[in-house]
Amino acid sequence: MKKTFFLMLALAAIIVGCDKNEKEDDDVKTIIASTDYSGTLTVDASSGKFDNENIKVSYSSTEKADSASITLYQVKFSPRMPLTIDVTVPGIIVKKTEKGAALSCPRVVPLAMGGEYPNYTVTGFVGEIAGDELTFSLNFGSTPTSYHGKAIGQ
Amino acid sequence: MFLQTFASAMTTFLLSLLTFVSPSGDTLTHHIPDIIITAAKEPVSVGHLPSAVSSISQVSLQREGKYRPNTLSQIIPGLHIPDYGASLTSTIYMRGLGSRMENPVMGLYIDGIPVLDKNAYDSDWEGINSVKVLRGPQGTLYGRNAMGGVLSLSTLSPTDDSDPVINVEYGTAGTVRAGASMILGNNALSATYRHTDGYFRNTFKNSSCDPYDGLSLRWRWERHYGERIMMSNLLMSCISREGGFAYGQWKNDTLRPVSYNDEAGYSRLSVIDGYRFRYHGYAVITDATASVQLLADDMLMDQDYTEHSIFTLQQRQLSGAGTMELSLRRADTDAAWQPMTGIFSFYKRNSMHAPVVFKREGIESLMLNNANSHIPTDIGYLTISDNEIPVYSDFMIDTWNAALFHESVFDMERWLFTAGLRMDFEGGNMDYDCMTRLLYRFVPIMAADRELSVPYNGSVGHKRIEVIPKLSALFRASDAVIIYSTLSKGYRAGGFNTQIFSDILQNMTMNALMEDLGVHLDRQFVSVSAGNTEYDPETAWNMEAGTRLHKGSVRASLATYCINVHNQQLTVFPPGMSTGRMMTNAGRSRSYGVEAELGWNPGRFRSQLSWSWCDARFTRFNDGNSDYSGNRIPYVPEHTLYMSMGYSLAINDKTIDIDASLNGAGPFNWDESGTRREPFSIRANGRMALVSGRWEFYVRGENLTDKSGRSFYFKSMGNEFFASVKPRIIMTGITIKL
Repeated sequence: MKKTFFLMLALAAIIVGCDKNEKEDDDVKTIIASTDYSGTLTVDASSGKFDNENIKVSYSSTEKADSASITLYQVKFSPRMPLTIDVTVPGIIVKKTEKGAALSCPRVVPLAMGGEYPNYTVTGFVGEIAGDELTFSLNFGSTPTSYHGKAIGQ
Repeated sequence: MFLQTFASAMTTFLLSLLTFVSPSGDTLTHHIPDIIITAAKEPVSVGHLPSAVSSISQVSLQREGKYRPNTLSQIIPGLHIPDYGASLTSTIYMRGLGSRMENPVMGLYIDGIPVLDKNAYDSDWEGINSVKVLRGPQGTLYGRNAMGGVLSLSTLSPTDDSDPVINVEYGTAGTVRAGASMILGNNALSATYRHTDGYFRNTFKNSSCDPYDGLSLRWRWERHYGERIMMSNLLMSCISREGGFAYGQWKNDTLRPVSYNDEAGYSRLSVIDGYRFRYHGYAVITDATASVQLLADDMLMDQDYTEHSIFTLQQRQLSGAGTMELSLRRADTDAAWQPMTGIFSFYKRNSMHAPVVFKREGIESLMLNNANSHIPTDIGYLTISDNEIPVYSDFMIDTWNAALFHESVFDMERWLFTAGLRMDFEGGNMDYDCMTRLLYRFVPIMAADRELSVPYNGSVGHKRIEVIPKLSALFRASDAVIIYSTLSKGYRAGGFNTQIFSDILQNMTMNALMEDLGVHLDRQFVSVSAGNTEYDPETAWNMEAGTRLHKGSVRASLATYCINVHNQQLTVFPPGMSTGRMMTNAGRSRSYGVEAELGWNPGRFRSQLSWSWCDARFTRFNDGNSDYSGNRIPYVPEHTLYMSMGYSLAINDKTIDIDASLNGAGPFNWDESGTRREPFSIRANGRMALVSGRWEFYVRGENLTDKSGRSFYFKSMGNEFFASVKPRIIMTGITIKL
């Protein structure tokens, strides 16, 4: 009888424990659900700092709750560029914080123009999602870049 | 080969038929009057028409070797139908009106049956009794596309007193033309076959550029039931295969020979069957016509017209149409009031398959170079591995029209007043289904090719109402002289630009490719959308005054006109790296001018003078880059001139006919800016014939001095091209009356 009681207690503890983990995961997913942001991308180019206004950034959570990718749309890395490109930074590590989520990323090759684009290898990525705001900074190659935007439609 | 065999068989068949027809004893004569006094629709005779009218008899047509519409150029004052391209071209200019593409400014009627499709205009004539050209807007009775006038052909009728005739001629460029016409009971039959090796060579292929083989057949059945009922049926068919598009590049102020590498040509089968019914009642004459018209054609074109593999165009059409007209007029032709009321309608469906194929050099020059010029080299560059990129474009175009018209003529002693009004309700719809596909790669980033498909489909349509009034007054100054004045409106139908869809797809593809790459150019590939490919009707108000004289052997006419055109339809090149062209309602224009004809045919002598002067200019036209207001309208000649003289010399029982003529047109502006210009040039023609009883042997020549000149100009991909005037042509032939 005692044996059975402890077994049920252990089972209950497991169930409660699982519930708690799932709840924590849900919290993370809720905070960093896929969201589009609009804001300013500041590029510290060799010719000086310049802003890309109204830049859309898509934050896409991956199946694993603790990773994501960020796509920057129609970005210029130099005011003289005759075109804009879309750049995706994959493999961003997401950690829950009190305000939302902390974002970080080791050295990673971004995706652009149909494949990996090593010329703009990303280093020093740090950022956060706090409420409806997304902020991050990184180096595209040797170009320091930062972004601050607000969620669209919220 | 099949065509030639079939034509030979048909000719043999007709010849064998003719040998069983007994001769009636008539001889060939050249004394048939040149003015025909019947009209197809008008409630009054041609002599009382308050507009400029030109008529050419069957004898004159034969004597001048006029067996195609473009051979009427200049003979009819102001009429200019340049001879270039292929049979589908049929570009008609009249009184400053006209454009290279789409709807014509002159309606073609054969025995009262309207020919709807411009691609069927140009066919060989045989067994044509007369040609009548009503100049100026004739919209009230003839409706759409009659704003420049109406070309009306009367064919050999079973009621004519005519013997079977065979005509065979041979000449320059291996040209053979054989025709025959005959009457069998209630049937009038005619057939003509023409072959030519071509007048221009494609130096790249070292082959003839514009060979032609064509067979035209016509069968008219007509029967009268008593004095009141007449029924007739006209079946016409034309089958042809030809080369064409003999365009040479203009470079460094030199016209280079024709030299292109891809296939070009045109094949056509047209069948028109028209039925006419007339009931001559005691009070009312009822006329009814109905027709079924089929056209199947296929055009291939090396659209860059160079030795390079850039791009080609195919345009394959299958169209069917039905027309119907019912009109009522007063039977008492002596009454002071001659009203005429009618309804008209047609429906046409055209299925068109028009793929443009971009070839390797075109992919490089038109697509990749353009795209890569926008991409910094340190980022990468775009490649397309396909050797050919087809841009498929399929269209289903429906056009319909319903019209109600009325014209009243009031005969008041020496005055004749005409008031007319027509209401046209016209609609059109185009379903388009276009698609292109390619394999691309962005080097060095993409490891492998990626497929991109760009579909583009949808539908556009329109419905419009046109009101076409007419007012005129005619004064019979004497038995020989009439003076008239007319205010009338005409319109040229709107439509759809199908040739621009390859441009739309080309630009859409490049934009989609960039989108797929995640690359966005500051300056997008620009093009028009399908919605912009519709164009509106062009309308014209015509004010005209003229006089005609007919006294003894002298016939003369003089007409002055002023025409104001709204929504002028112009062929333009759209913005961006365009390879196509499109019709657009670009502006306004006005034209005024003078037309004169003088014919004097005393005894065995004959002479004819036709001259016109036209000043046609834009009053408002800005294409976004330049303002062309005040400039001359391109392709419209300032002057047209035709002069002929002939004499029939009787020697015993034979006659020697000697005829000489000069015809010329110009100067032209070849473009809106007037930087390219063609001077007035004149060419000499002649004919000598020996006529004896029932046969005639002749030699005739066109452009006898072999004078060079240019008949057409255009730009493609920034290159300039001209079509040359045909060289000297000498034909010898025999006409036998059985």
